[in-house]
This record gives sequence, structure tokens and C-alpha cells, in this order.
Amino acid sequence: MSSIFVKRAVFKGLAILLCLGMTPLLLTGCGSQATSTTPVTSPTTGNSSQATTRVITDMAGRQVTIPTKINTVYCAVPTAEPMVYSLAPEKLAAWVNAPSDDVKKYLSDRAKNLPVLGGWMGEKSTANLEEIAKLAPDLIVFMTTTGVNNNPGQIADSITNQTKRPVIVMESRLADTAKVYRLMGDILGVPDRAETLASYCEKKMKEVSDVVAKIPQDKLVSVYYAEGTSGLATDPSGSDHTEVLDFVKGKNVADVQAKGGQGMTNVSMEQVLSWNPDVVLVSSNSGGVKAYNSILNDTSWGKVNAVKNKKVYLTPTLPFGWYDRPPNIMRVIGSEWLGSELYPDYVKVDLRQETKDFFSLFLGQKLTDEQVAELLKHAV
Amino acid sequence: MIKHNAVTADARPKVKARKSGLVLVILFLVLIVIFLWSFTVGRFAVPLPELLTVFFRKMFGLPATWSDTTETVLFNIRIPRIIVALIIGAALSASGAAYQGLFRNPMVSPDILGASAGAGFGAAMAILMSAGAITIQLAAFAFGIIAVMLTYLISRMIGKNNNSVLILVLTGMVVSSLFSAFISLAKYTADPNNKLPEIAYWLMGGLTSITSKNVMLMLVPFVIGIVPILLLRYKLNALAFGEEEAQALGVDTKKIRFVYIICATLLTASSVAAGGMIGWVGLVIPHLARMLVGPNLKYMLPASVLLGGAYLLLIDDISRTFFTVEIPLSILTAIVGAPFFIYLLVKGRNSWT
Amino acid sequence: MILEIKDASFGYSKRTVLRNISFKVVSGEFFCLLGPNGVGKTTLFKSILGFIDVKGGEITLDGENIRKWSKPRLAKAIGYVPQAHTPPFPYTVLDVILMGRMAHLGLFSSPSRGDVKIAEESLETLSISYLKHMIYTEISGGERQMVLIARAITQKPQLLILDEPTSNLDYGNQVRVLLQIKKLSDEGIGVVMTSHFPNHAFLCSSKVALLNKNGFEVGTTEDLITEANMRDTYGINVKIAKFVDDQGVDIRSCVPLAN
Repeated sequence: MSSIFVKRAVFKGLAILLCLGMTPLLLTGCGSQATSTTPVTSPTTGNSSQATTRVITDMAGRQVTIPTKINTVYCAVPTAEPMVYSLAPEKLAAWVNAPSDDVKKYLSDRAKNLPVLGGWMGEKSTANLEEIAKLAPDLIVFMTTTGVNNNPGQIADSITNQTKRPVIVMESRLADTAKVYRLMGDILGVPDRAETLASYCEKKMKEVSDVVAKIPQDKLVSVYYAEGTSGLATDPSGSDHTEVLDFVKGKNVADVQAKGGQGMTNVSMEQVLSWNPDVVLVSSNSGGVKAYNSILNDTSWGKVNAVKNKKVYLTPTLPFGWYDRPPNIMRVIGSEWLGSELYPDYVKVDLRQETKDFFSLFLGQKLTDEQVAELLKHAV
Repeated sequence: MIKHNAVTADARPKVKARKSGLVLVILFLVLIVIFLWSFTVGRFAVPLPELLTVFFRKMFGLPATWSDTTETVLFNIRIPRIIVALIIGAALSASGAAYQGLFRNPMVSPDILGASAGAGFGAAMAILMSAGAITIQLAAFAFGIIAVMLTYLISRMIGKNNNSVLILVLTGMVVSSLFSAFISLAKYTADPNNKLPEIAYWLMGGLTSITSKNVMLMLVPFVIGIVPILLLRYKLNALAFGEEEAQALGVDTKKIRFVYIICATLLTASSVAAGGMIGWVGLVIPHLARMLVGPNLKYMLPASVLLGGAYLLLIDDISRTFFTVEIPLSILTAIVGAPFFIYLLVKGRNSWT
Repeated sequence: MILEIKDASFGYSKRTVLRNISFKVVSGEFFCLLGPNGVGKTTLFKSILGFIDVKGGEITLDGENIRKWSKPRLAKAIGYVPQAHTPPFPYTVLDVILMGRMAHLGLFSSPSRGDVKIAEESLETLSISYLKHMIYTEISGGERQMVLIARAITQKPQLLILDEPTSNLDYGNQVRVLLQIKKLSDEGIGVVMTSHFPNHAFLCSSKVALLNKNGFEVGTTEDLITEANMRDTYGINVKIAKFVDDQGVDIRSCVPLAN
């Protein structure tokens, strides 16, 4: 009989301990949020008569206090870099990864020499916290999918804790490209530029999506996205790695479960033969040219429809991936590219001209015909 | 002559002679059946009538009535994969059985001297350097051998002329840990977009990218490794009684140990090089073999080879057929092997006491 | 077959355990080695069997230095019966005994029907045929000892070396095993045995060696097993009893005294 009372006492004790333990957690949780409750962009008066900071709501719903004038921006993940670089190149203060020589060919001189600080890449952080502290950027941008399963707010908060700089979350989904530009334009103080870029994206993307919406079911092309050195890894429809494919209405043959994070689900050669896609996209940043060549020359791959008809395309990737890895704003021109490859009878664009226009507007690069050919090598 | 308590004398079970030879024949037949069945399964559907037609017409050199793709699937993809699964299963089991006899301990597995960890490291390095599949296999094999050589040399330095296997085992543990640490280092420096998942996937074991080239590469070390192990297996029995008794029975323990370690290392390193780190085969299969045919290596080694080959072939068939994604082999062998091992321990008749 | 130890010293790399040992054992002799714990009996055996090198002097078998004998050849000549222990795997008794034939088999061979016959004969000789298919790790200590003796004689050696073969046996079985070994010795096999009991020597040996702090002495049981020697060797007081049995044979026994 006494044992029941003992048990009750133990349970009570545990419950009290738990409550005591939870309270500090709850308090700190509240504490990490900005304490201000004023609406979206209201200036906070400092000592001088000019407002030096303001509070914005980022795309993860967080209220963040940022400086009104932002001169230096550091991107915590490579996904955000093309966006910031295209919008306000002189404000970009550093790279996450060192740009390769091929990439540098399409960057401004200033951009070629920016410091490399590492970043929060996927499963591990390569960020050099001391260098970031030295750099003391006015703003840090963290860009990812803010879907149901992610918790970007948590990651952004931890970056804030580690760097003591303001961190905002931006959405990386293709559909929100224009929205992100406009929001960032306001934040960085370049609203006109942002509007130009945003409306360009909206226009081009709408042109593609309107056309592909009209394609009849039986004319849809089946596509396999080949990743990994042997091309035997892939991502299914719905993954943020294959947004462009979904957008241009390509049928992703991979009916597998999407893997979070870096993705890349492994499949067997037999499975690919069984799917027998019409088109194979080879990921430049995963298997690269090696995978592209091995797929074209392998006897087993040779039996796949796509290979038989020479419809194997290497995703263009310079200076930033046009398709994914990382999923970024270049996917706008990427959509035009893929749309015209898969459905040339429907998506009628002069890809080379579009590429020149895009590079000129977004990257400030005047491309020669040779450069365009280089960019689209193995992709058309 | 020796008299014992009258009560217990009759209570003891009467043991009949085992028909080990018969069991071996049955195991061989089971292997053949699984081998043939393996051809009928896969993600690419080849209906049984078509399969039979293919074999029939191939045998008699008749022209093909099946599609080009079917031919590729059967002969370019399935056959190499089936053969490699068989070989790796047989190699790991033989290696495990040999080491268990050599170290007088049924809890020993083929990676005890560091071959697995070394091979894993070799592969990780090759993947980091963006090498092709064949180079990865060769690098893994080379480092597997290097790791064991390191173990052997260091243990000789420590033990001097001491024949004790304890020092060998302890050194093996250290070398394994060292190479495991290097693998972690490689993973840490790897680009998390590509290289890291690739290394991780390779390490988990799988026969996804097996081609006939891999088969050729595997065949040589396999044959060189397994033939001496099979030929010398009766002598290995003596080592179960200890170094000195074995010598007194006329067995040159030093030479036998040397040959066995080389052969088992060839088998283990080449297996890991081709298929990644597949565990629970080299440990569990010899136990099962012992349960079926007894500990006498004359029967137990061939039984391990047959059982191991059949087992891994079956597991690989499951891995490549029942799900769209390829489940890494080590996961399957662990899920099947670990509970089965517990069952063996519970059921097992003095397998280790 | 003649086993001869010529002025040999035995020990390990760091220390010498025995010095200047000399004795001879011939086929048909029963040589019993008596001595207290730790005096070096095991070291002596290990040296004869070739597990450790002799430090000085030499050991010869039929006149040839034992170092020149290959392991298989040595195994065909000398059968070693260690103290029974438990191996890690459950071999059958027949399997264990058959291992005695290893020295006679080629490098790649396993036992033939002929070998199995020899093994079965060994079982018969020691009257333990009922053990044939039992698991070695499941029988009693005494039975295991018998199996090891059977394994040694399956080697068809000319010399048997036994390390305290009666340690696990009850009184009755001790005597029976010793008499069995005596029979083997009478049939022509040379026997070298260690024991902790002088009465064992009285029961079977022709020759005895005493290893104690005074050194190493070889002689007959009558000469060496004396009250003085027992005091020197074991540090206890005994009385050597002499009497005549029903057949008129002289019997001696070593009886420990209470004071």
C-alpha cells in the first residue's frame, strides 16, 4: 500500500521538476524575439533624431531588427548569393564557397576577390565565425524553403546567437522569386532595381507557365534527373531540387520518397531501364561532365530511350546553377532553357538571346556568342 | 574403464554421428535454387516464360527473340550483380570462419584486423578525389591490405617472438579505430552537397553500380584467397586447442597463421572494395554453419562458403527488388543478422563454451 | 627410440629456470618426474616439445638434435598429453582424437577411413568407445583427460609425454588411468610423466627424477623416494611403508605423517 504513495510522491516530484525546467526554456524562447510589438516598418528612435534601425517581418514570420541603411550583406547559404549579387552587387561582402575559375569568368572584378567565409551548408556548418565577426556584416540572409517540415526560424536564430548579427529568412521557392526581390529591394534600399528584376522574372516565368499549361497530357515528356557519379541517384517531383522540372511540366519518372536535406535517393540501373525516360538531365554539380560522359557511353544506359535519342542534357551551371544546387534565382533562365529543350514546339524562345538578356540585366555581363555556347555546352 | 556415477551415465543423451556430408549437398542445392531464382527478380520485369526462352535460346546459340533492353538487363546488370553478391557472401563467410578458428573465438568477424576500416578509408579518399568507380574499388582494396599489413607489422614489433594472437587482435582494434577516424575526417572535409552523401552511401554497402568490370577485379583476389583457405582447412582445427597443442600435433602454426591472415585479408579487402562495408555476414554465417554441420572445419568451411553466398545473394535480391530505392546492404544484413544472431546464441548448443 | 637430455639448461629469455639437467628415456621405460610447484617441470616439458628453445646443452632424439626435427616428424615420434582444458568449439570426441593423425596427413588432406580406424582402436584400447560421438566440451574432466590420451596414442608415437594426467580424476580413475599408461609402456612406448604424488611413481614407474632445490637427481623409485628426499622436496614428513602383497610382490607406499 505504501508503495503507491511513494509512487505518487515520485510522480509529483517529477512533475514539479519538469515545470521548473520548462519555465526557463519558455522564457528564453520569448527572449530571443525582438521585444518590440510595433508594426512592420516603424523606425525606432535612437539618440540622434535620425532612425537607425527598423523592424521587419521576414518570410518565416520573424520580427527582426535591422539597420535602416545596409552596406554589407553576408549570405549564410549559397542559395541567397545570386539573389543578393544580382540585386545589389556592391553590398555583397563575402562568399560561402570560393568561386571556381569557371565561375569567376562571369563575375565582376570586385566579386572575384571577395573573402570566403564558409556558411551553413546542409548537414554541417563550415562558417568561420571569427571571420564573420571581423567582417561584421550589417545583415545576414538565410534562404531556404519555409515549408511545413522545415524550421528555418530555428536555424536563423542559432545563426543570430553565434554571430550576434541580424539574420533574416528568405523563401527559396521558385514561385516566390519576384516576391523575394521586392522585399529585399525594400530592405536593401534598392526598390527600383528590385522592381526591374522582379517584373522581369514574373514576365518570363508567366510566359513559360502559360504555354506549358496548354500541353496535352499525352505530349508530356518523361524525365529522369541523374545525380551522383554514376547517375543512379535522383530526386522526385515535389522536391525543391526539381522545382524547375515541375514548373515546365516535365514528368519526373522517379516515384520515390523525397529525401530531405541534400536529397539524392539511390536507385538501380534496372529501375531506370524500367522507367525508360525520354529525357535525362544530368546534374552538373553532382555527377558533372564525368557522369554525363559515362551515361552516354555505358552499354546499359544506352538502352534508355533518352540515350538512344541523344536527349541527355547537362544542367547549365555557370556562374550559379540554372537548375539546382543551390536552388536559386538563375532558375528563371533555367526554366526557359528546360522548357525549350523539353517542349521546343511550345516554348518558342530564342534561348541564346534570352541568356544574353538575362546575364546583362541580372549579372551585368555582356556575353559573346562563344560565351553563350560555352554556357549551354551539352545542355542543348 | 572410466567409471562415473551410475545415475548420470544413463541420463546423458545418446549422440548419433552427424551426416555432415549430406548437409553440404543440401546446402549446395539450396544455393543453386536461390541462384536461379535471382534471375527472375528485379525492378525491370522479365516474365518467367521470357526468361526461360532467353536461356534456352542462348544455350543453343539461337537468335534472340527478346528486346535489346531485356538482354542488357539480364546479362549486363543482373548477372554481374548476382555473381558479385555470391562471391562477397562466400568471401566474408570464409574469412569469418577462418578468423574464428585462428583466434579461437567465435565472436570474431572479418574486420578484426582492420581490413574493412582500411578499405573504407581508401574508398573515401578516392571519392573525395572524384575518381571513377574502378579506381575507388582499387583504392579501397589497396588500403584494406595496407591496414592489415600495418596491424601485422606493429604486432610483430610489440610481440617480438611471442606467438600470442592477443597482441594481433588488440593491434587490429587500434588500427581499425585509426582508419575509422580517418574516414570521419574525410567525411568532415567532404562537400556536403555531393561527396558527403556519396561517401556515406558507399560505406553503407551496396551493389548498385556493379558491372562486369567489377566482377573481373573481384575474381582474382577471391580465388587466390579462398583456395588456400579451403585446402588447409583441416589443419586449422588443431589451433582450436591452443598454439602449443597444435604444434605438438605437428602443425606449423606460424606458417598456417601467416597464410590464413593473407588469404582472409584478400577476401575481406576485395569484398569491401566491391560492395562497401557489409557486416553481420562474416560473424553470423559461420555460427549457422557450425550449428548445421559441427565445428570440424572440414565440413564447416565449405558450409560457410555455400551458406554465405546464398545468404547475401538472397539479401541483395530483396534489396534490389522489393523497393524502388536501393536499401544499402549493411542495413538489411544488420536487420536480419542481429536478431538472428541473438536467436543463435539462445538456441546454439555450446557454440562457444 | 631414445630421448636424451644432455647437460641442458631450460628457461625463458629473461631467466633460467633449470640448469645442467641430464637424463635418458628409452622406449618401454616409464619415467616419472616428481617435484614441487613452480620448480620448472612445465618448462622442461615445453623445451622437450620444442615450444621454447634450450638455453644450454642439447636435447636429442635418437641421437639427432631435436631442433633439426620438423614439427610433423616430431609429432609422429612424440605424443603430448596436456592437462585437459576446454576448447572454444564443440568438437566430437572422435574429431578430437582424429586430430592426432594430423602429423601423418598431407598438407591438404583430412583423415581417411584408415585413420578413423586407428582412432577407434585408441578408443578401444582405453575402453572409452562409448564416448565416440559425444561432444568433447560436454563430458567430464576425467573423460576429457582420457580422450587426450587417446589422441596422443593415435599419433602412434614412440614416446608419450604426459603433464599431470590424473589431476581431474577421482581416486579410482587415477589408478585405472595410470595402469593403462603402464600397459602402454609395457607394450613398448616410452613414457615421461609428471606427477605430484610419489605413490604414482611407486605404482608404475621404473625410473624417477626428483627436481628440487638441491638439483636434479635420477634413479629408481627405491633409491630416490626416501623419507629424507621427500622432506627435501616437499618439506613434509613421510614414512615409506614396505610390505608384500598376496602374490608375493614387494609393494612400497609413501604415507604422510601427521607430525
